[in-house]
Amino acid sequence: VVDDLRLIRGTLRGRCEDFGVLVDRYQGALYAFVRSQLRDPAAAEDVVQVAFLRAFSGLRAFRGDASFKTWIHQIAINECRARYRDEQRRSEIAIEDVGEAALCADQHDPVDRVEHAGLHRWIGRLPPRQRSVVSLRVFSDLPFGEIARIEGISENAAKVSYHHAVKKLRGWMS
Amino acid sequence: MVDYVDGSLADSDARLVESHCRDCAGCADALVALREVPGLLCAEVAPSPELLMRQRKEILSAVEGLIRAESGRTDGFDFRILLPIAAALVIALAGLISLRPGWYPEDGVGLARAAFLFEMEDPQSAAAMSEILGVPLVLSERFWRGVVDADLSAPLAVGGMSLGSSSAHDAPSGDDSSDDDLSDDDFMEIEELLGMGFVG
Repeated sequence: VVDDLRLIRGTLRGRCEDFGVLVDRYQGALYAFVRSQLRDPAAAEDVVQVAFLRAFSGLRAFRGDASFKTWIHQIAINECRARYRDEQRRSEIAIEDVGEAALCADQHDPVDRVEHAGLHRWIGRLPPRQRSVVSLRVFSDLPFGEIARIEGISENAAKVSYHHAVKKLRGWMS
Repeated sequence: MVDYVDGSLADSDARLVESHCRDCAGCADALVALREVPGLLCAEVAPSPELLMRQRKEILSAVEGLIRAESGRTDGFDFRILLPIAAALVIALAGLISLRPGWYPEDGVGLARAAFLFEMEDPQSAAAMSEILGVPLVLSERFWRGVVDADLSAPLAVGGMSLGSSSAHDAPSGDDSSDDDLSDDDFMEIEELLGMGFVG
């Protein structure tokens, strides 16, 4: 198996197929992770594509301090957060612009409206940090050390966060 | 607990967790959750192979486009980078012309000096210089007075050259007659040359 760094070097020399191998390796995990973060499947697809293109564009700046997998997840998380912010801005409509009927009808927590089926919808109810940690662990199979690096917390904090998240999920599921 | 499920605990620590969970229902439950939940979640969000295939194609197509765009930028020479160099050259040339003594286009004397120097060697060069400068070589009255009223026996300094009938002077380099003194006839000839279309 060719390691990621060699594939990155090949890509930088213009070998597109080397980047294709990187896409094959991480695309599935990245999509599952992003899908757990965003309610819109089309937006999730878009974020994955944007993440890979950003990674490609910034490949020369990749220093190899973390793995490529961690790096691309970090890019995807940043993109997801940017979309969260955009979504929030769009949903902040002036109160005088909203009809009375609409105010009565829309009283649910926005996270409850995540259109995921089955168990996956519960992830949307987790606090952002726990949602991110559990998704990075479960869908992307990242070690806790790397999750801690992405989230900017200690490895132990990542483990505790994960533990709490899983307990909550189990409780909601039952 | 997380490390136990991951299998990253040492054997002795793993045995401690197991013995604790036998007596603690809460921890036993947490252990089950840690084992079951990830599997259930994973089964639900696995992307379809069709989606992955389509997305892969789109990503690589975009990447190829970026590679093409980048190689296009580096293969062809970008002549725009020459613009500042050309501008600098024009400014430098203009500065050189304006700073050089005797080359002020508005100054008839200056032009006359230039013409004079060139005519000493080649009248055609003087005419060409006139064309290059885009200014007719019109000699000023002052210059004429300088030439006409000059004591021809005394050296006349024109364009940095000493001209005179008897004294030693510097002739233009490359002139075949550079070692000869200029006679009155020479001056007459020069005056004639200067009068050939260069004198207003």
